[in-house]
Amino acid sequence: MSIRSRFDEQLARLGDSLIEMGSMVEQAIADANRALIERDAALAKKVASGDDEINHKEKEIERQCLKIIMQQQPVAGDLRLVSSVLKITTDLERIGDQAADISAITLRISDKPYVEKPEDYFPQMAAATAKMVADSIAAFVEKDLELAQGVIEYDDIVNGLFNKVKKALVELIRQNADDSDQAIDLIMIAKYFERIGDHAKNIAEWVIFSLTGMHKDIQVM
Amino acid sequence: MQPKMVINHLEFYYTKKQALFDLCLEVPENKILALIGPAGSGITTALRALNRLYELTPGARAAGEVLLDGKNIHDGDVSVTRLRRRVGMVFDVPTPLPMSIIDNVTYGPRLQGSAKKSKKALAALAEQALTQATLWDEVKDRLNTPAMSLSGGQQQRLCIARVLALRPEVILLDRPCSGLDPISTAKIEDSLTKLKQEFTIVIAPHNVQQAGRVADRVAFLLSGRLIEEGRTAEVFANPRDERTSDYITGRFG
Repeated sequence: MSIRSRFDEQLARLGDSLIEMGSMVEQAIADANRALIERDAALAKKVASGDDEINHKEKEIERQCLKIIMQQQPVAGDLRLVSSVLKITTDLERIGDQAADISAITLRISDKPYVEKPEDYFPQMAAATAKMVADSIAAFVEKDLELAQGVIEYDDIVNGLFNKVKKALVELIRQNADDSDQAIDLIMIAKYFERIGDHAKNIAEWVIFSLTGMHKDIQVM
Repeated sequence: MQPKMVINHLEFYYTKKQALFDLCLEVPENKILALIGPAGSGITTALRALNRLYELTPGARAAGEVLLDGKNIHDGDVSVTRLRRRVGMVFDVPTPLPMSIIDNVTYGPRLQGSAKKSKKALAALAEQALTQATLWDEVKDRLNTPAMSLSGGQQQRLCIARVLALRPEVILLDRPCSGLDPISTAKIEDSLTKLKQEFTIVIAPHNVQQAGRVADRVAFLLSGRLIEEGRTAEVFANPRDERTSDYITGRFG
């Protein structure tokens, strides 16, 4: 096998690893939401501990990238691809942390009745952010610039949902101060979802860099 | 800043075979320009066109302009000897002369009618050239030993020193690190990045990674045609032409 085709194989494997890490993170978002809505402490614990696997995957992908840099000294599109993967895994890892943070709050508050119906907000936020993650990874694998741009625009929807939750919970605190502890925890959860959206947006921005050399409209090199 | 050299619509032929097609390229002053491309792309020809070294090859001829400080080097009143002193060349295989280290370095200046130069002046010139070629520290205590006793990397730096001793304005290097180990290669690359403060450098690197390390600008030639020229970081991170990308990422060539 030629050096170049071995290199192409390494790049393909890197893409596969990123898809795997992306699905782990999507699952973590969905599980964090379900554990919250269904007061499923066992599932919440699983999300919190599953974070280790995501971190482990991040290290594995970093090793793959460094090995490619060492062996192949990538340039042009290859260089942009490998460096984007390094940045993307960092954002995926942060999303995993935030899903774990949501579940940590769930474990704390799910033994009491909820002061507000979380199913009115969080399933939507979870679905929206998981879609952003899935689309950004798909955009990377399929080299789909339009899809990546769509992810960036979609972040507005997540931000809109966050503002809606925040408004409702602030109103709740205003009406009944006794509920404020839990209401603040729920705002925290909403904020974590909102941050997940930001990280997914970052991923999409690195996908665009990988495809075009431009990052947030700036030529990096 | 004015480019040190300008190649204008250069066509080049070896007897019947055309080696360069309508080549237009600027050589910026006090910068390192790397010419890259697959074997047979006209890289060495383009280098040799910059000081008319091709004239030593029977049947070789050029059409078009090569300007040095705005003056066409093909003009009738240009002295080839003087041109090659201003635009010096280092070859891929070290070519030390069968004489001592110091005589190798002072050979050019002595030939150049500097015979009147005192021994002291020649010694000072040699020290300066050897220092600039980052060889001085390794040879200062054995300047009178045969140049052939040096290692390959040292011989190549000696050849760079020999060119520098003539105080050229432009230095052409044709794969100067072929067959050298990474340490010798690094020493030559270090000296090049220092030399560009004083000289203009055009290099045909022995691989594209070397262009990435030392060059300020890169020109990619394919089958005798310029495909793309630009800042090194730009060409290596974001080449405009698909063929450049294919070449530097090892997809052909």
